[in-house]
Amino acid sequence: MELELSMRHRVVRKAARGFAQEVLAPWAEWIDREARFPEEILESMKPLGYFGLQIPARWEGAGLDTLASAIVVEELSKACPAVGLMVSVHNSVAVNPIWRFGTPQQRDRYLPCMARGDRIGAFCLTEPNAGSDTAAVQTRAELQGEHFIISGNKIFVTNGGEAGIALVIARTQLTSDQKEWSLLIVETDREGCLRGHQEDLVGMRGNPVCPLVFQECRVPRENLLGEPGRGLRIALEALDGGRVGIAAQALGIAQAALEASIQYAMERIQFERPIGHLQAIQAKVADMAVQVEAARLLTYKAARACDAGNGATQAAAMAKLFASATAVRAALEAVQIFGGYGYTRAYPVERYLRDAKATEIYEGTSEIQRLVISRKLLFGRKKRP
Amino acid sequence: MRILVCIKQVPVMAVPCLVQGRWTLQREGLEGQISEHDLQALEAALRLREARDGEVIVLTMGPPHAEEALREALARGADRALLLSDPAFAGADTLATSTTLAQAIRRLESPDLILCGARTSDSGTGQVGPQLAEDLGIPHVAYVEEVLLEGNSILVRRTVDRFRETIRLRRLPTVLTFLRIPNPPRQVPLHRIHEAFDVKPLERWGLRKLGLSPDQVGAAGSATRVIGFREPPAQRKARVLRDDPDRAVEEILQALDSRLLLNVQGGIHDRAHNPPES
Repeated sequence: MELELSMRHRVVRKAARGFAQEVLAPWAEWIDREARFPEEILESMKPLGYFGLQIPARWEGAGLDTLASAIVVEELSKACPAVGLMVSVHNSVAVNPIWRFGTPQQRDRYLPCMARGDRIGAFCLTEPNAGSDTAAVQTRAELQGEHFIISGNKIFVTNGGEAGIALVIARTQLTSDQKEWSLLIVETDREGCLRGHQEDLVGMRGNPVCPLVFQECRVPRENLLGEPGRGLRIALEALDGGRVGIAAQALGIAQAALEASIQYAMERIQFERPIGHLQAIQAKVADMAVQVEAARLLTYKAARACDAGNGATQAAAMAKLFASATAVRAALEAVQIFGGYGYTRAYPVERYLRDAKATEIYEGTSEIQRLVISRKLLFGRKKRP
Repeated sequence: MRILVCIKQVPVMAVPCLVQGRWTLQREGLEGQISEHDLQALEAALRLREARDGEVIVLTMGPPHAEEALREALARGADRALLLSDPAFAGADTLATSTTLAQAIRRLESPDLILCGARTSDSGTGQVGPQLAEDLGIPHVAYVEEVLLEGNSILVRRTVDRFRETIRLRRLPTVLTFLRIPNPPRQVPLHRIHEAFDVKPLERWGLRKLGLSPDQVGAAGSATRVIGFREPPAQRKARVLRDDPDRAVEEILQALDSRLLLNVQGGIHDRAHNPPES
């Protein structure tokens, strides 16, 4: 397996790092405090290709592979994870499924406007009673003539407040299957699609996470994405890419925590010299660095598995599980190294901790990742517990 | 308008390290980046091209991995790139570097403007741009901040000794070196990276293609060799002379002379190395 990045991937990293550090980083504290994105940040990202990472140029995308996308999300998240989250979710579970499973008409209609960033994408799976148990989804889409009528509540919708296009998982009755789910493309300005209040989150506060409520929302029949009744399968496949994105995001946070710790360890004087000269601090920095590097290798490996196209579920679950745990540990250690100052809002490390925690929860909790990994090991590919 | 931009890939360094036993920077295994002021020269070139149609060519001399800097420059908007790379070019001082670059420029379709960073962020001599102009026998202006096109001539602005200077250049080509420009260099659009690798041309030239001999380039063609360096003591001794101006001038001259700072005869124009014929 190739462990070094290619020149092309290094140029992608340079591009994303330049934008993240020069443009985004100065806004990170403001975005967290105000719990929203400044308009100028979104506008500055649009012409730079951040909203069409993997889409081919014919639909105005950047044509990057999954590894390059992961590098982009890592660099954005190192500066501002809330923006990294928006880019990751928009690309991996909204734009990419339309590209991969959409009809030619759907691709032509939705991809260019989404790749330009004119319509931000969201993915609606979670409901009040359906989180880790995806099969408990209660939202229904009933086919009446040439329209689906969607009714149900979706919650914790990442990008919800900004989203122009939502992919919605709903129960349908299109085949003889008693239990079937389909995926529908819903323009959020349709009648009957309502946005709830933005969640007051602990971390990732800039992202407009909110409920989307569907009250007999009429959507044309041609908005069905993929085959009828295959929605959950498409969603789970999209989640492989999504989990690589979240792993990349966790990796970015962990790297930020490591770099902040190194800098502070050489600045903070105690016992008449920088605390980096104390073995206790040296051990913390060394352990963080090893974990971050291991998380990076797992994440890049999972991204390459997505690009190879021969099943990335296991690799993506491992990457997300390990990288998110690494982010939480690294952020905790960073707070500890900063001591009292780390427990204030004057330094960014407390934000890293709040942001990191989310990565262990969304797009499949750590418990679900362990379930995915062990199921494959114990019961083989096909069997579900 | 054809604009050539000379760039250098410099190492990203948290702490500069020397190669064991030698007075050169440790560059192996370090990530590279385009030198800060070269990036400003490139930005200035791209803005000129936007104001008036034309072509931006990026040129660098370096090891094979310097291609990365050229690809980045292409992604930023340059039209094509030329990499001068040959084991014989290694260890070049500023003279051997400018000799090599000048020869490459002679072999390209003649550019109207040659833009460089005023100095690199890894060695910072500020010599390559002016030496290049001397070698090519064309004028140059150093430390440029702004370039304006005005009919057939160009106006350049710079700040020297706290004075703002505006210079009109009536004859092209000319070399301009940039220190800082009013606009920050643009961000790299992700969707241009594919073009930078798969569409835009990048050529590689070695010693043979340039038609130079091995003793004109690299360490062999260098007039200088670093035999040691140290960090200067960070002390400044300021003396304010409040007496009669004539006496003050006399004292300043004496102070400079006693430190051998005024004695420049017999040095700077006497080059050990003759530039190749143009």
